[in-house]
Amino acid sequence: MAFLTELPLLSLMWLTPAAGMLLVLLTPARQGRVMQSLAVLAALLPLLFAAFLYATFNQQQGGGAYAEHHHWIEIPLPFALSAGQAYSEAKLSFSYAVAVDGLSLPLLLAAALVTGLAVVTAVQLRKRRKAFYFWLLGLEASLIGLFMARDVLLFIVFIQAALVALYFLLGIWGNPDGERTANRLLAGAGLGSLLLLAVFLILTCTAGLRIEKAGEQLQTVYSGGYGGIARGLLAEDTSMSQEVLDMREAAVAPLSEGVRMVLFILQLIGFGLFMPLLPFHTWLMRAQAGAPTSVAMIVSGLLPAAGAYGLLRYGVFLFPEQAEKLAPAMAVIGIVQLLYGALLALRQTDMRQLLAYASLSQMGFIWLGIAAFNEIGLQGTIFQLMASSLCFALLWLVVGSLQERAKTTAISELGGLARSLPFICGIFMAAGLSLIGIPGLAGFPGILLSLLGLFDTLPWLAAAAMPGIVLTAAYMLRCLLRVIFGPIDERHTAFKDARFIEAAPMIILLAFIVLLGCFPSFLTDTVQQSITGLYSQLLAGRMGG
Amino acid sequence: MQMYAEAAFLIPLLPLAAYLILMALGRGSHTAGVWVGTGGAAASLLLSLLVWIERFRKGAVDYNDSFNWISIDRITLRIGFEVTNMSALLLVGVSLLSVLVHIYAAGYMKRDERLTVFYSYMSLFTFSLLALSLADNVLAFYLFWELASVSLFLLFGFWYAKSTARAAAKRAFIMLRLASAGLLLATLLLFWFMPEHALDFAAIHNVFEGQSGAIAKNITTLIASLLLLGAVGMAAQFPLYAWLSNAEQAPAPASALLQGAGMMTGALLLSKTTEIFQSAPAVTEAALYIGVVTAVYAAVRALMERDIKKVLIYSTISQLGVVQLSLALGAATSSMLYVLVHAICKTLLVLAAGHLLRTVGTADIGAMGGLRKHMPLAAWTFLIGGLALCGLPPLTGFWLQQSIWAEASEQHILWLAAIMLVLFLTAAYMSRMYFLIFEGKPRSAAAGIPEQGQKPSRLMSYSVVILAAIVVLSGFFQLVWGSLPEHWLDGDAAGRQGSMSLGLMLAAVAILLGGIWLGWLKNKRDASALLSNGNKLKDASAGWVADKASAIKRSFAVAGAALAAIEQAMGALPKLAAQLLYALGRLAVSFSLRSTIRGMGLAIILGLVITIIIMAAKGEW
Repeated sequence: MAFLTELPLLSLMWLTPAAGMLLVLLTPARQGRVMQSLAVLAALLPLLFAAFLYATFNQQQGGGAYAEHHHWIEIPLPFALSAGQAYSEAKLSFSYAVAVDGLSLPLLLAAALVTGLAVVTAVQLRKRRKAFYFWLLGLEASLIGLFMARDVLLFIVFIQAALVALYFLLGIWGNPDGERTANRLLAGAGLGSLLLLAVFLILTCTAGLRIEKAGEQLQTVYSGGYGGIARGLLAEDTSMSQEVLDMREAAVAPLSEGVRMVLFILQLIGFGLFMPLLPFHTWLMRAQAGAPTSVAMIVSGLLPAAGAYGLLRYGVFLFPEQAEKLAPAMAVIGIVQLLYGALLALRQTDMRQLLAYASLSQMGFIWLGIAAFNEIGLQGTIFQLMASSLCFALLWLVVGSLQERAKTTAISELGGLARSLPFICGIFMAAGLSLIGIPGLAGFPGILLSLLGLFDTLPWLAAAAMPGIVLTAAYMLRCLLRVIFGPIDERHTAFKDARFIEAAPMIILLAFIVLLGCFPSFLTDTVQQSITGLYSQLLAGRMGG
Repeated sequence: MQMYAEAAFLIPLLPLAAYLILMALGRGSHTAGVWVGTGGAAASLLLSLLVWIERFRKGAVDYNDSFNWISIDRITLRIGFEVTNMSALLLVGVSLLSVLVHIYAAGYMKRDERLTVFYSYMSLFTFSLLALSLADNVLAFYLFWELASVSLFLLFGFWYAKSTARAAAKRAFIMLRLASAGLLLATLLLFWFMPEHALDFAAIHNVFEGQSGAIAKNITTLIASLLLLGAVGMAAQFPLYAWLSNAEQAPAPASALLQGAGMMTGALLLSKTTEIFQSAPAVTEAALYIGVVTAVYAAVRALMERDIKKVLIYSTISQLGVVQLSLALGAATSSMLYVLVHAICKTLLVLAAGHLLRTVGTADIGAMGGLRKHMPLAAWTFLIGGLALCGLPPLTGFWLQQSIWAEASEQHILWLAAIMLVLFLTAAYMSRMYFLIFEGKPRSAAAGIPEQGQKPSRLMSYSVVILAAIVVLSGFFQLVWGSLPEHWLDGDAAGRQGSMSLGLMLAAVAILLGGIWLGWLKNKRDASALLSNGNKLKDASAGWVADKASAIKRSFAVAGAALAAIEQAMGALPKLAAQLLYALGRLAVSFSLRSTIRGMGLAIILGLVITIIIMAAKGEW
């Protein structure tokens, strides 16, 4: 495997599915099997790369190991700045920068795994397969890219690409009335990405400012690089010469507390539209209920994970003080969301709706972990993100398989399926128990760590989350027991249990869920170094301020 | 030196391995399933015995080991095990009962096509119980307890096609979940308030023992009440007893393992954290009252029921009430011994009842009667189990209760009176049940000619006989060695001497005989009533529970409906936005299709207007 280190692995990770798109497009529609194998191959290769990255990741280093940087867009601006004698040209610069650290690597692995398996699952689809593969691979490429991007423009491009792919996936294959669902996506997530674009442009023009010496002359660069923005916001660089400082002052006023708060809140809403955050969740509920199985797998777990990752990376890490100020509010929203989603899930009569609200409710724990604002809480958040993206992918796989057989997802019409589908029902039970938070499965450590972290800072709110845990058990059991237990309908006795192509992704996902549940340090150790570095940076910032 | 103690972690892992193998085997493979399941439990028993024997050596010290489960910076969550005299004894008890139940189940479940699945659930349950007995800290205890409750849930719902089994499984899971939320919260509290985030029982012991004030009074009370919530749920105490009262839905062997070994968990939690309760007198008081209320209420229920399984279940609940009472009184060691003995007796009774059930084909004691002639084995084992459970001398229960009585009479005469009342009632319901089943005249055709039912397999008889033998032998052991086990468990220094008082013993025997007499009287009345009207004895309180459950459900439904309305309202705005967007899109498309120039013209005009407005606003016109 040594040759892999020579390759630009990060770029390859998202380029492989992108190349897959092209290949699928070029394959004649008649050659279904070839197209299918090409798509599956292109979809699963990133998983291999991700596994390699994970295996060779040096935990002590915290993640400087993998990074790629190329110049991308440089636009000279038609004005110049002057301060005293100094005079400077200005330019706008965005680069192609991708990197992976302990925070993004686990999520990258989850993304590669879930999207790869989603493409495998899509084998069962019949309607307009070529286009479906094309867009699904596009979604995979953009989601993988999103977790690596270290330049605001690149990040936005990946988000937009993901939205475009999702738009078509929901619009063409969505059920029922996919077009409306797709429009809701535009009104929801599209708006969110616009908000983010605005925030990022402001950041580029303020915190992203960099004064370079080009020979004798100074040059003012407005750069969208993540590292530059982070330095601009968090650390006061004292090594600059007076000349540079003056120029800096002339170029831009430093961001005031109020502006920072507004930027953070805008990000909260922008990413909240993906995550979902309570009042901005309706489009996501609809999208999940209507999406085809392989898309629902991604939308209900991974898309929120992407949103949360973005919020952590560009929101919480860049505006730690503001985030800390808003932490109690976020915790309250988390609790409300947890209970709200659970109570609504309790009254749904359709499995798809139930899972949609379950994902809303589970995301409450994410907010709790972020609001804890300590290392344990952050670890809990990342664990919960990974766990829920795997767990929901598995649940949707099962629901897709049940729907394919029974032609319905209404809970009241199913029952006693354990008799004809013991394997699928066993998997369903395991995934449900993981969601409920049974130890030994992936759901538990995330919840435990989030609450443990929150208990340090806001103990009463952590206690208030307890009814949510009991309610989770209530709504999930209601669905599981209805569908799996009880007397079986005559029509359902002849169902065939899972085929290999269905069973394999289920077993892989379950294996990961058990692995994470029994050995959480598999994940926490990887994340640890990055978080510690970040945390000490926050503390140092606080000392200085 | 302590070779076996160091390998004690293998004891729970063996049934876990059996579980995994059984899962992989799936349905089908009948005999292999039995061998794997029983083999796992038997291997645990063997190793437990070795660990136990090793404890008798001179200079045996407690052994403790743990590994990092999660470590975040300087904070670590550890999972570990500890081998003490108590845990060694519990290991032997649990694995012994588990093996016997496994053997019994091979006969009882012979015809079931999902035998392998059943054995896998039993192995999971055994694993979690053994791990619980070994757990050395609160977190590990929580983890394994959750696993135990999941396996319980699976066993309750084993006959999944029955809607009653489904309801029982759901109720058990939700109630246990409620209790576990209490334990989880207590764990979180302990984690943040204990010095150095220590969660292990030894540290808890040290911190709370001296009442060093390391943890504030009100926090201690909070922790204690949360732990009590957990223990009350686990031990099926009032008001969380309802989940256990449906245990008859589980297959008889599972029910036996649950009511025997499974019910030790609540007592184990209380005994391991007893120092916390000593620092929180108000909570201890609450535990006392809960214990008394549960013990008396459940005993009275047991006297009323006509389903043999229900009688045994209420008996379990009642006995656990006594255990909680004595734990709250501070008699930790003798309570644990009592729980162990109760586990053995109750397993014997439930298995014997299952035996009976298979033969007669019904669990209704109203339809039995006069069965002693046909089934002498069942009658004898039932008699032994019942008498030992009541605590009639010379059987074990009697000797064990001595120190509990002593503790109760020291604290308040009221508690002693309560224990005596429960003793009386226990003797009454046990004798009533025995007489109704085995004496008198047969009350139905099935009871008259039991040969028509299934012939119980020999494996079932074996395990029942072995259990009866253990019960009798342990009584003699107690007779000869007195309170030695308690000394051994407490360590030599802590042993209490001469707590037996002759007057109390005689009074207790008199009370027991009185209870048995009452049971005989009630048996007479019930039997004649049943002969004239078969439906006389109805379960009165079932309706009450159903009412409560539906009231709770209704409140959730109302809340859900209100939230759904809010949800609808929230959805309206994005919907509007989407429609607007769509309309704009259509507009743009139609313009560009009809005439690009017109569209562009419009855009230019619009842009001009906006520019003018901005300039006007800036005051630069």
